[in-house]
Amino acid sequence: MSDAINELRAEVPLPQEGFEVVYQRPHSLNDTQFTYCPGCQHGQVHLCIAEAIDELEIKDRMIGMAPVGCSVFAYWFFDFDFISCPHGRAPAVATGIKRADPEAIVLSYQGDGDLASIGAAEIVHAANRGEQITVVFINNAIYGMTGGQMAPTSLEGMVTSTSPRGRDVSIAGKPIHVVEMLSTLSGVAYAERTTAHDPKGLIKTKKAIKKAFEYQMEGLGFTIVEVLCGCAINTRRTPKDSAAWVGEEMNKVFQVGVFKDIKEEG
Amino acid sequence: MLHEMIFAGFGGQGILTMGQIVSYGAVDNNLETSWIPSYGPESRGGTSNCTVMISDERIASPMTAAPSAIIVMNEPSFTKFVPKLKPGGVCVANRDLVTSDTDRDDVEIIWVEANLEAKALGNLMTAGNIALGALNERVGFVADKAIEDGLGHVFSGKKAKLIPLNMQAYQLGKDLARKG
Amino acid sequence: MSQMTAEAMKDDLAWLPKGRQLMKGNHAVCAGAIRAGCTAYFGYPITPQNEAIEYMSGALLDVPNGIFLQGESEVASINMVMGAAAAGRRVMTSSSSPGISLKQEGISYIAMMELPMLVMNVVRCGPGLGNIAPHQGDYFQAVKGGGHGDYRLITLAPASVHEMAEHAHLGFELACKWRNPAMILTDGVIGQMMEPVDLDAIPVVDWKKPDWAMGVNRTGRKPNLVTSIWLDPEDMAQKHLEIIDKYERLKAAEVRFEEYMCDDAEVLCVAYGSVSRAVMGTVRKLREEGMKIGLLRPITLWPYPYATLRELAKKVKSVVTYEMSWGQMIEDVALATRLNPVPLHFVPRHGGLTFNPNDVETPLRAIYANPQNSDTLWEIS
Ligand SMILES: Cc1ncc(C[n+]2csc(CCOP(=O)(O)OP(=O)(O)O)c2C)c(N)n1
Repeated sequence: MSDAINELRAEVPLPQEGFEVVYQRPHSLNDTQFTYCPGCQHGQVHLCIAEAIDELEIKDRMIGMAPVGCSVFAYWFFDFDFISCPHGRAPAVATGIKRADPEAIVLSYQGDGDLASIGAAEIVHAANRGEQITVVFINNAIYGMTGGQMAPTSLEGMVTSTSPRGRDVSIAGKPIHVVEMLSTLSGVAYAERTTAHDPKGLIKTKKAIKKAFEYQMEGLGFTIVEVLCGCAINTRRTPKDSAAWVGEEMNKVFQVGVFKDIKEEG
Repeated sequence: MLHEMIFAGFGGQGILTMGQIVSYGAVDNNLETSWIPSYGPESRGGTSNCTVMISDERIASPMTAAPSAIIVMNEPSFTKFVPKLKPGGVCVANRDLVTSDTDRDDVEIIWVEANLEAKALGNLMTAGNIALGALNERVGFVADKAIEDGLGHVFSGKKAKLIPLNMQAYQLGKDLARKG
Repeated sequence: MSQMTAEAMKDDLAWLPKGRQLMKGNHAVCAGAIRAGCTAYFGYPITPQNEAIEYMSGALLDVPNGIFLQGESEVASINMVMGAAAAGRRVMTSSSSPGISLKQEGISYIAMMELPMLVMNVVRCGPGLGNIAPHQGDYFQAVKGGGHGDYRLITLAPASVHEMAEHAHLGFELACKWRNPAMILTDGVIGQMMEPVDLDAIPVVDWKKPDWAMGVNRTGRKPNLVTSIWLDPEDMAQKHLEIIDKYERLKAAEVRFEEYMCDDAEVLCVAYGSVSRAVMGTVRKLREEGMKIGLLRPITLWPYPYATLRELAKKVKSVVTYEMSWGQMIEDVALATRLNPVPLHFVPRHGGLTFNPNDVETPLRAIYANPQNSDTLWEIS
């Protein structure tokens, strides 16, 4: 897939003696270049996850669930065990894996179509049972992989390929607020929404994911981080405009913040 | 009469639209036609192609392993499709983006500097129609009117103002092929 | 109906798909369905049939009383279809293999409820997530009953974009006539391809709610019940016998197929859907060379043209089945020819690779020269 790029990289001279490596690719990622479109934040969130894993030194315990969506090939980039799940069923697959191997740290990485539409039942019940897993939920308000259809999180009035005259909430309902909904369930230990459209948001995203993994390691319950992202291609925006749209329009509808933290609740 | 054609290039060069112009035009002029985009594993790697059939009788296979005419707008398409061309087939190749050559002497290659000519016309997106003009001049798969009809389908509403420029590009392609 | 001026009438029908148009297969099926009186669609996006759900999301907003809803899943969508069918609508859904698997539970219920509805499967390559390329691996699932229980699905296999529109109408007609679900089984070649469609040739149906349907009871009729549960085995056996009888009558009345140059053929090819197109081209070409080859194209995959195939097979030296699968329809070919054994050959394509004309021609020449050609010879094992 990116053989040519990897070949090029091999030719780039390594740091000479006397230089110190101060920044490098996280160990939890392999050398494959991301294949995501311009203006997509799947790659940045992958980095956040990888850095959190590196800092916690849990790479060898990690098992990832790849969803069906643009991140279906997440395992091209991460350097640990992965399973490619049926559309929406990752939390159920994760349940099976975690129960079979309780020492594992289980990551379920899902998009909004995958998690909030077809997989709505699986996510609710995994959360309610307090499964010891961490869900990273990419909310880009649209179906990326299939070419821009309406998602349960699409904004009111948003034009998509299956809402050609704009999302009519009298027919399709309002955008679903996943972390708010899940935080009402007693099995949930940690639920936060962050944004990936700017550097500040990414720093918070990494912190949130790290915390979620820590809670999982402590066996506190189900953890989820919802990350607001853009899909520049399918919303027909430039990457810059797409990021601005996430920061302004999506942020208005989906407030960022911590919705549940059982440690805070004492 | 059966014309089995493949148009190929990079995504974004308007390759699929080029094929649709021909098929729309064929329908308006009561010919049988099929248009099928590269689809499935074939479409990987940023190249895009479509197969267009034109006939006066029912079209059997909408796909072919040995086209009678091709337009190749970039290097990977040239190396992929020229070897598949039927003996006696015609290829219009975009000299601006194809650097290699072929040693086949049983096919006709028409070289067109499609990008440069299109830029001179003021719109790079007309490169495909220049190539289309060149191919139709040699092969004559539809009447010129069919191309104009086809353009009317793909450039409708606000975009209709692009039709004259694209027709001009098409005519230019014909002239270039005639001059050889 | 109130009086209308000619102008208003015309405007009133602006929603009706019409004319001779170049269309994608996935669009043509929807246009044909709307002409056939379909006013409701429920579905969930999946490649390579997204053009269908996208078309309906716009078109049904303009159809009088039109309903379009993107369900939260294929499971939800097929149950929405169940509801609208029970309420007497001509209703359809569409999906591709993984999504069709999810609809199987609903299809089984709908068959036992004897509700009419149309489902399109634009088959992609499986099992599992597979890929989005054309394939025919869902043949068994469609014609042998993909869900639980003994039901059968009326299954149509269009081979052109025009037939996509035609089969939408035919599918609804058969589904409503026999009160049984119907499926259009196709693939991305037909779904993604553009060809001319003569929409005016597709009958316009003004569908009326049937007597058996659910709805506000304005006439004081006895309550209507739609169910699939018969707890008492005696009662269930009675119901089964009724449906078996219906299926027997359906099989006798509704088999459809196309014979192409079969009359004096020495080798008979069998292929359906997009594959039949590649085979037809080769048959035409080899006929020009004087080779006696014919093609049988089943149009209904259930009911299957067993009798026709049996008769044709009696006259030939060998039968070749072309399929984009590991070998599914070939078992029906074997069933049809079991009483008068003739060498059976199987030429598959795997992984989502399609048949190019030479993939058809090379083995066909070998089989024509030698009816026992060992490379392609197939036996039940
Ligand atoms: C059962 C099933 N239904 C539908 C699909 C088609 N499909 C693939 S990805 C996808 C939605 C992806 O959207 P999202 O989860 O928001 O992720 P994104 O691509 O935006 O990252 C769908 C519907 C499928 N693969 N399987």
